[in-house]
Amino acid sequence: MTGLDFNPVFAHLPFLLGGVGVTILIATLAFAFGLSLAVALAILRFENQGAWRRLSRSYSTALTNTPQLSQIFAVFYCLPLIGLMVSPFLSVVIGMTLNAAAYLADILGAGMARVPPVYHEVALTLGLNRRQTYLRVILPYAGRAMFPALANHFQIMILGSAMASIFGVEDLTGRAYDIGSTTFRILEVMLVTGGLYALLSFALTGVFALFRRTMERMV
Amino acid sequence: MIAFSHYDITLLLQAMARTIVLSLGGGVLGIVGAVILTALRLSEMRGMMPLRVLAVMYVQTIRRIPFIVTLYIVFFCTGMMGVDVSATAVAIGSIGLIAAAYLCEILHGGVKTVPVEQAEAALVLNLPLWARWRYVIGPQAMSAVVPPAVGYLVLFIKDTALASQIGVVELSQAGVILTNRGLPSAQVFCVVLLLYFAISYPLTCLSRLLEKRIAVH
Repeated sequence: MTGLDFNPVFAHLPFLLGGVGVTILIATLAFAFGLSLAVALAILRFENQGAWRRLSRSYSTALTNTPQLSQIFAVFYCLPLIGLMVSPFLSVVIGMTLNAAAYLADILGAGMARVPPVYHEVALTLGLNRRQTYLRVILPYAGRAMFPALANHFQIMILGSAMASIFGVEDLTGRAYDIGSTTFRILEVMLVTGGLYALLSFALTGVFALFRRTMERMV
Repeated sequence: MIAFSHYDITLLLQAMARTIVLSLGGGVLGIVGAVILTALRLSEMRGMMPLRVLAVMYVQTIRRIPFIVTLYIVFFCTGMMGVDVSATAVAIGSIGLIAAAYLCEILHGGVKTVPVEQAEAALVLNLPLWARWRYVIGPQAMSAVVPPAVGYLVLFIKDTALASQIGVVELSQAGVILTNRGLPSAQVFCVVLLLYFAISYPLTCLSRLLEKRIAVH
């Protein structure tokens, strides 16, 4: 085995580190949009009994049983068919949003089922309308109860966003691949990249733990 | 589905078989690796300390690296060392590396749910090591291990799609090939997604069933 040479990688380190920002951006955008969609899906499930509930359930079943990569490919190749020419970045964000919504709806649904019935009664007694009940009682409760699961899914999305590189997006993995193809030091750059992902993930674990502690103190 | 010729369907089915091989191969490697890692983590011999730390570090770190990066690392590492293995073998190995870490977490967590008195009682009864695990700890840990493990296997069937990036023609790559050949992309991806669903959904149902039947809450 010829020796590893990390110097060409360190020469491009600022470029690589910039990719961390893109990775965080993709994951955050997809998480935020996915969460909004998931709230709608979870409420649909919670409020209705018949067809709407089945529809919302089927959405989650369909998208959690197929790979995110194929879903992004489907978005990437099929949006142009209906006349929408979107950038690879946007295709990835849309694909990841649709995927995240399915998982997050399951998580939020489980959280909403945990809200004690008395909360609903209290909200009714206080004269809150349905919108207020959701925004001020049910969703905050579900969000708090499910915080670990939500945070965990965000971590999964950070890792999943590496798929963006396949579509030519310059996220952390995409930039790593670029550096690898210009310096021919792909193994070294991938090792550094793996380390960066691990560091990012450990940092996020710390941030979430801190956030959770602050949140619990506030309540 | 008039658009598909005999050759297209053959390609899709072969690719689906490849996806199943990747999942099964990675799963088996992962289970073997997880058992070894868990054994290391649970060992109480003094000399094993460094190995125990390494096992914990491995499990903690590898779960924080995207699968595709691990795949590239293994792929280029074997290339650099001059090991001549097929892309499929590299993919199976990478899936095994990651699955071992996740399954180790599940296995270790499951063993920890068994009250320590049970293991102590078995020790007092002078049961040999294998009997302690076979008759006392194993059966009790099973209920906390099997449902999440099956649930995890479902998750990484979908990760095998990334093997396409090192040149393995599996299901998602077959979809891309057919699209590039000029077949209608909407139909192709519908079929690809349906085939994945056909592999994954029965296992999801199994995982739910196991959850209901044997899981401890």
